[in-house]
Parts: sequence; C-alpha cells; structure tokens
Amino acid sequence: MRYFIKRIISSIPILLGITLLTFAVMHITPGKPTDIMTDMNMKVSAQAKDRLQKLYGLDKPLHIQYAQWLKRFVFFDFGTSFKDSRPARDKIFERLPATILLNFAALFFTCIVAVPIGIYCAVKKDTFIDKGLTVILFVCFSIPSFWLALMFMILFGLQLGLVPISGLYSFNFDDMNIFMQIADISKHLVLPVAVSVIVSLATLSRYARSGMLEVLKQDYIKTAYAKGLSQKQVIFRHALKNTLLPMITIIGLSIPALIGGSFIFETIFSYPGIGRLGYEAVMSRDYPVVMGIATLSAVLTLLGNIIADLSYKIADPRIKYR
Amino acid sequence: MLISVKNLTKNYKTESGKVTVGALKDVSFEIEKRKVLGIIGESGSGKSTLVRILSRLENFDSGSVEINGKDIYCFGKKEFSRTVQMIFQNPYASFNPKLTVGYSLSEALEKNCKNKKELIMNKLALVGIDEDILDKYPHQFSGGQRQRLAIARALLKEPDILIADEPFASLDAVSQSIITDIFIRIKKDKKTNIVFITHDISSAFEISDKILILKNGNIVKYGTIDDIKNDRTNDYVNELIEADYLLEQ
Repeated sequence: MRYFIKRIISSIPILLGITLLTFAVMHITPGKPTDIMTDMNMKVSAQAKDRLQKLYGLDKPLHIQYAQWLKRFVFFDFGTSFKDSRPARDKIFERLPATILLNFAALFFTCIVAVPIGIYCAVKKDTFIDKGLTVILFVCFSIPSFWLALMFMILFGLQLGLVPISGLYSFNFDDMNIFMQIADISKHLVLPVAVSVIVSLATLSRYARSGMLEVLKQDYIKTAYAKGLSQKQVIFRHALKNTLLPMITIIGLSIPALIGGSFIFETIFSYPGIGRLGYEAVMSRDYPVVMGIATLSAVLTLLGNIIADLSYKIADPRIKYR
Repeated sequence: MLISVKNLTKNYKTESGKVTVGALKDVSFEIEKRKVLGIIGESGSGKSTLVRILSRLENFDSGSVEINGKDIYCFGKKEFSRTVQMIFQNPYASFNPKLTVGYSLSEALEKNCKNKKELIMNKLALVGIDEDILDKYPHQFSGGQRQRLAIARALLKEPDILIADEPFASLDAVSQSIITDIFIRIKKDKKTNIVFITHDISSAFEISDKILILKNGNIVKYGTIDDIKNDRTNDYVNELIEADYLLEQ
C-alpha cells in the first residue's frame, strides 16, 4: 500500500510536466482560437478582436494563463470551450462512453486473436504456419490504418452494403427496441473495431510469441513434460501464465489509448468519441478541450503504469513492493 | 541391461548451418540394473547431450539407445515418464514460479491417486524437507532445498532411472553434501538407478558404481571406480584424478 501511495505522489510532478509541455506547445502553435471567429469576418475591428482575447484570458502572459488553468484543474474544471462556450469537462465526458466502448471492444478482440496466434506460432516455431503467419502479421502491421479503413468502408460498406460506414447510431436509433439498438451499435462498431484489431495484431502476437518461446525453454517446462503431462496441459497450466506476465505492461500501457481515443479512426469513421473531439479541438485551437483531453490521457497513462505494477503482484507471487 | 547405448552420434549445426559440431561420436556403453553411473568430462565433452538424449529431450543422428531392452522412442509418454526422470543443474528454474510446491509435486502423481499426500510426505522425508511446505512458492526456498524438492518430485514417479545433470553445480558445499547423502540413500534403496553428471570427481567416486569419462564427444574411459583409479595409462584420466587430489590437499 505504501508503495502505491509513493507511486501516486511521485506521479504528480510528471503530470505537471506533461500539462506544462502540452500547454506550451498549444500556445506556441501558430494561430489563435479567436482567429476562427474574427479572421473570416471583415466587420470585426481590431478592438473587438482584443476584447475577445481578453474575454478568454488570452491577453495575459503565458505563465499566468497556465497558473489559472492549473487552479481550475485542481477542482477538476478544464474551463469553457472556446467553440461553443460549453464546459470542456462536459464535452469530454459525453464523448467518453463511445470511445471506451470502441477501444475496449478493439482491445478485447485484439487480445483474443493475437495471444492465441502468438502462442500457436511459438509452439509451431519455424514451421510453414509460423512463417506464414509472421508474414501476414507484418503485412497487417505495415498497412496504414487510414488506408485500410477507407478500403474496408468501400468494400464492406459501399459495395457489399454489409455494415454502416460511419457514426455509432442509425438515424432511427431512438425508434428501435433495446435489442435492435444493441444490434445497431454492434453493426456500427464492426468496421472500426476490425481495422483496429488488424493493425494492432502484430505487436501483441509477437510479444506473446517471444514470451512463450522464452518460457518454453525453461527447465520447469521440460520437467512438466517429464511428469507425463500432455502438450495442452503444459502450455495452458505452466507456460501461459508465465507468458502473459510481461504482456500486462503492454495492456496496462494501452489503457490511456482506450480512453484517449484514436484521432485517425474516429475522424475517418465520423465516430462520436474523444479522438474526434480532440482532432476538432486542435484544428480550432480550442485550448480548454485540448488541455482536458491531454491531461486525461496523462493521468490515465500514469494510472495504467500503476495498475500494471499492481497486476504484476497479483500474477506473480514472487513480486513484493516496498 | 538397464541402459544400452550403441554407436550413438549427435551433431549440432551452427546457426548459419554451414559448420557441424560433433557433440557425440560413436559412443557405446552399457549399464546394468542397480548401478549408479557417474559421467565426467570437461565443458563441451558431450555429457549434457548424452543425458538429454537419454531423457528424450534431444534426438540423435545415428546409433541406438535402449532402456530395459526397449528402444527409447518405443515408450509411450506416460510409460517413459515412469521410466526416466530428470533433474536439472539450475534448481531455481526447475519449478514453475507461479505454482505452489505442493501443486507441482502433486502433478507428478496420477489424477486419481488416492494417497497423494502420503506419497508426497514420504518423498519429502527422504530428501529431509518438512511437510509444512506444500503451500509455499519456489522462491521461498534456497537453491539446495529446491534441488532436494526436485529430487522428491522426480522420485514421486518411482522411475527406474533418475538422471541428474550436474545436480551439485550451483550449490554451496553443505547443500552438495546433503544431495550426495540423498543419492547414497536412493542407491541403497535399490529402487531407482541414478545417472548423473558431475565435474567433481570425488563426488563421482563417492556415489557411482561405474564412471564414464568423456572428452570431445568420445569415451576416454568407462569402468568401475577401481578400473579408473588403477589404470593410469590414460593422460586425461590421470589429469582428472591428480587435479582432484590437488584440490583435496
């Protein structure tokens, strides 16, 4: 317990560093949030522009702006969106469920496909199947996700008409009963989840393969075979748990991506999640929303590390934290 | 004959596949039942390859290996596990770190075995380990204790042959002497035959009935302890015995 309290306390300076960096980068980037409202309107005077800057507090020096943001952040207030004057926190939290749904589904399917592939390849090391799967996985890894998304949209959405190509709900979603609503959401998730799984398969399955190969070399595996156990028993009872341990880190570190969302996927599929919100916020220099998403991702990255450490303790009885 | 090895040859290829290294070259020997065989040789002499072949952990290129008159590849998996058991050099890697020692030990017994606990307790008593350890994990034991647990685990199968690959190598002097005593007890018990590798010629003399000396994949000398001690015609054997004598001095 003391270890985790120490870890949480030591994460605070890192979090502050990340927010400071994000804040600085956002403000260094050319263009101001008020430009969108003023530059395209010929009637706006220089005074009106200044007044708008003052209204959003953008006329103050950067360190004052950051201090003000930090003061609000302590109370979990990310400020008001420059775009529609709604609280940034509300905008982020209303997009959160859709992103969580998409990314958890993607992670779940990636794990249940990638881990067995990795383990199978390790058990059948250097065979035709292992080599064939390796080539296929590297092809999947090399395909740009945006291109694959577009190809899938054209093939499965437009030409075959099997699944919807954008959004999360159909236009008549509210008229459907609960089962039809679930089916509708599932259908909308098929393409983004499939693309996400395909491009992330290689990483996880290679980790599973190399982890399994390492475990299979151990003497306790030879001992397990010597006990007369079948290959299935040796793999599932002895090798799998030891293989999955290093993967906890990878899965733990993917937690921020689960919440932070994917700018590319969500934008391409017009998916109403955090990623698309973040993309729109960056394009319109909506500082409060960008800062809110960046901070949320940073908190979750740090939390993901701590959760991974905690999972290690559960998975491996040898680990003791002091 | 308990073990009969005839013209055994094993070659390894380097990673490039261009160079072949002969690990065992036309090796032949036999060992009778109820005899302990000590295998001695310097690093790279082929000792480990030989015991790995005897344990079916490795295939060989040519020759034949028989146990109780039967080709080792004619044994079924379960039958072989009741015939040959092996313990490894590194006691830290012999047990699954995620499973309790009790689980690892009980796994060696058949699923429907009724007196599992009693059998485990008997073997633990043989290796001098208290019975209240079943819920502990391997990392909670010292190297010597783990090696004793590994012997207990192997003996639970009541094998005809217990193969030990340098069982003393990573242990302190006290643990080495405990393991030596356990081997002597197993030998007296006359149920299980021991084949073991060691660098320590004095341990080999203490435990073995017969000694096999290997060098560069060839048998330099094979015989009883008296044969080895009295035949001083071979330079390599002389060197080994003299080195041991100097160490003891």
